[in-house]
Amino acid sequence: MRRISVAAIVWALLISPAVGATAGGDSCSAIKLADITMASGIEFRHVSGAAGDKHLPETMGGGVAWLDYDGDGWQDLYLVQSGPFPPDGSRQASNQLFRNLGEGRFEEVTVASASGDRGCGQGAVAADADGDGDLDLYITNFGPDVLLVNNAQGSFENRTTPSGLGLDGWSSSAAFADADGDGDLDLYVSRYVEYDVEAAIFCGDPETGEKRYCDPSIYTGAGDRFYRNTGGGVFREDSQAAGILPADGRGLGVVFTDLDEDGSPDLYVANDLNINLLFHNRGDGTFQDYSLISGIGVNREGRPEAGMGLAIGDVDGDLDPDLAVTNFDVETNTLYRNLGAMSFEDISSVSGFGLPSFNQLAFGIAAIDLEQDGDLDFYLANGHIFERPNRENVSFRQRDQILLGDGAGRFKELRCQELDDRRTVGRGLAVADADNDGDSDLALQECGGPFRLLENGANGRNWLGSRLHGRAPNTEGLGARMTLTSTAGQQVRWVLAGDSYQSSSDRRPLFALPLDGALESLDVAWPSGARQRFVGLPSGRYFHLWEPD
Amino acid sequence: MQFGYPHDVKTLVWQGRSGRATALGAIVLTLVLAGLAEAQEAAQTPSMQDILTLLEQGETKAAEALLVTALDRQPDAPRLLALLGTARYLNRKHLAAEEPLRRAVELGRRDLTTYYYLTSTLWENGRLAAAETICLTALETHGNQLPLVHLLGRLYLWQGRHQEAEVWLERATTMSPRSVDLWLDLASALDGAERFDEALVSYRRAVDLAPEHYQARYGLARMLARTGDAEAAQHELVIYRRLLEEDQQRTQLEGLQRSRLDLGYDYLRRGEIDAAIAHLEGLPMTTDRQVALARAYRQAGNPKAAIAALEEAVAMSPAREDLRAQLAAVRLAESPEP
Repeated sequence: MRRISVAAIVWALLISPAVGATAGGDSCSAIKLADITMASGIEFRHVSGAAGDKHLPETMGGGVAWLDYDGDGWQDLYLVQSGPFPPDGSRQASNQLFRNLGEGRFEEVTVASASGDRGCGQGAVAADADGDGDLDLYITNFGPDVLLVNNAQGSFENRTTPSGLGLDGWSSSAAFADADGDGDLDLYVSRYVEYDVEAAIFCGDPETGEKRYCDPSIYTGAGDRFYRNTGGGVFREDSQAAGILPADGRGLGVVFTDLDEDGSPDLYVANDLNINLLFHNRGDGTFQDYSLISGIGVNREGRPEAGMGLAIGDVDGDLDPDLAVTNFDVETNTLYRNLGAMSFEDISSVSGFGLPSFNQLAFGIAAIDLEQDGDLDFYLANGHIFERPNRENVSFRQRDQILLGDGAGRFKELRCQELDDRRTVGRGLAVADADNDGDSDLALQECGGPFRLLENGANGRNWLGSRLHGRAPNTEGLGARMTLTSTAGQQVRWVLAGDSYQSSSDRRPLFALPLDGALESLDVAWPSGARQRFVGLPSGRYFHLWEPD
Repeated sequence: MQFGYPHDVKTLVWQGRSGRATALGAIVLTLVLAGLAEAQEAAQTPSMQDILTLLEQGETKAAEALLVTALDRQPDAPRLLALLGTARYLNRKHLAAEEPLRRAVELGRRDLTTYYYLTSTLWENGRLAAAETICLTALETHGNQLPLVHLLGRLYLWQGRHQEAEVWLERATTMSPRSVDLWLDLASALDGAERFDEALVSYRRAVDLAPEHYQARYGLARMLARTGDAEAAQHELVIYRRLLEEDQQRTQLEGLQRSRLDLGYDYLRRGEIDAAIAHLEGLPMTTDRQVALARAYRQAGNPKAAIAALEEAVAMSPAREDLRAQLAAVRLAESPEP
């Protein structure tokens, strides 16, 4: 009798769903993401450069940046190419710029815009680095980084050297913010490892000759850099004085956000196999290391994880910025709840955020309201670095993941056939309202694979967007905090340049209003300290908001 | 990018990434060996003996291959199925491990080891509810066996079910009060349940048991900060950082040395013996370098140098019986015919 009962239990368990799956969910009907890459006219395939020698840079790129480079109100797309390895500067390595023509169509304008950097590309971030009102591009490379300055006539000029930039080595992600409060945008570059192409080492199985990418723990961290903008887009490397050194934890992701809401952007860096860094901004662009005492440097168990990408958002409805980090498989992705006063708590397990990622390796991440129900969800771009991962139930090509939030800090994975069938080697991920219809579309880079543009079909519900016009030189109002108040509650967004993994997204804060919520006000806290409140705004459109004098 | 996981037994036992991991691995290894001993008694065929020997030696891939062959002849042998599932689990083939372990249980194999690995396999495969049920069934069958009590506690902890975790981990610490892992897990559960004062006591206990355990130091620091003693927390964090950095430096050095050494072996595989010798001779003197050099010298037809290299290896690591055996074998091969 007992024997039958045990067998029955085992059989019943075999058909039970895996953790995090939406029970009975086999459709993505809650989310309408359509792959419109082909229809958009974007033809881009990332070239990793992998040729069997297993050089680590081959498997780490690349990023994507949304920017309205021509100021026509449509978000254009900059795709970072890695190219042959070792880098040869060939045409195959050229990054590409696609101009948004509206209505879901793009045209390639790389040559005409002179934006086709041919370095071994890793990532890109767009920002008005020289404060002249248009968006420039900072490109991170394995090799010298590049600053392309927008000349406002539809093209870019490589002004890396005159700008005091162009450090050689291996840069990964970059972010801009007015760190020292002088109005112009400063730059932080996360840098990975000191990688010697000719190093006399072998990683893999020497008995069979099968090579694998080396464990990054054998490499020394490259050391991040902080560049202070001295005006007009000229930068001075100021890492030592800023207090960020040594910052050699194998940096991959970086984001500037005012985490303690004292008016100055703080800095968070995702490190691979090392303590993630939290630098508290003293208000003058010098920083104090809060990585450990804040509880955000390692996971709950005190272990450094393999930090890759970063996302900022208020996931629990208390209006302060929480922070999510993507990690390796057999770790989980980590969600840190902001407790205030530079104190954080790892809520990865209790929130349901971490568990679904156990057998995934995530890079890109976005905190967006995919459901348009007024609370934040997560989209994760997954993909392994090993063609044959160590564990059988971990694959090289992986499904992207969607975690639906409840607005109170809890998440559940949406499992459906569409996502399961679409397996890629995900890396860069950036979001933009590419068709200006009030929802977030997704740009996804695949390492060694084709680019994908996913159109969000959630439009038609109540939404409100805004384009900030800050006072020069911070012409986009980077660092601004937007709070929308409706009868259903409050939502908050932060205006950032650089997040996710090697990527940067649309700056226009976008809010979805719950169906039962009527808009009451929109508050803007500008980085200069100026405050504005707007009432009576109709929904369903973008507003241009200018910073007051 | 980290290659390890709290209940990944192979990683724990053979890589020993952290003290905490190794201790849990040791518990599981004890379990495996207990299961082997039982199976060994019943071993009736040479092939079964081979399988058990291979498993005992950690040659899990070879064991898996033999088990597959053995199961061709006896497809419904519960013990073989259980061992196959275990071998696959140890080979990180968690999906493939599930079926034989499940069938072993169905066919009446309900020993502690099989239940343990079935629970762990289901956990690895993300089937947390199923893992919980199997573990509870195992506890019902076998009573409060420490590995199962700990496993269930960790399973709850993993899911953020702190209050349930605390019950089992409390029980586990009572059964094994000198295990730092158990105190750490209990502390984590109490912390998650917002019973900070009790968590602080447990973290202190863990630090007392293992002062060099960096995770214990971190937990203590976090709890000190939580309970308002910022100065003591800062002090603990300084220690934590030092211990962590030492561990990381050790990992980096070992990894780098391994990769350099493996380049020597790769040269040998490709038949570039002179290059291998030149490369290996340029590496710092370690036991493993001497072993690699001995192989290179032998392939170069220089047995005297090989013997000398192995003698140095034995001198550096006198406790390693395998080196003595290698040295003896090389000497024997080079001794004149009687």
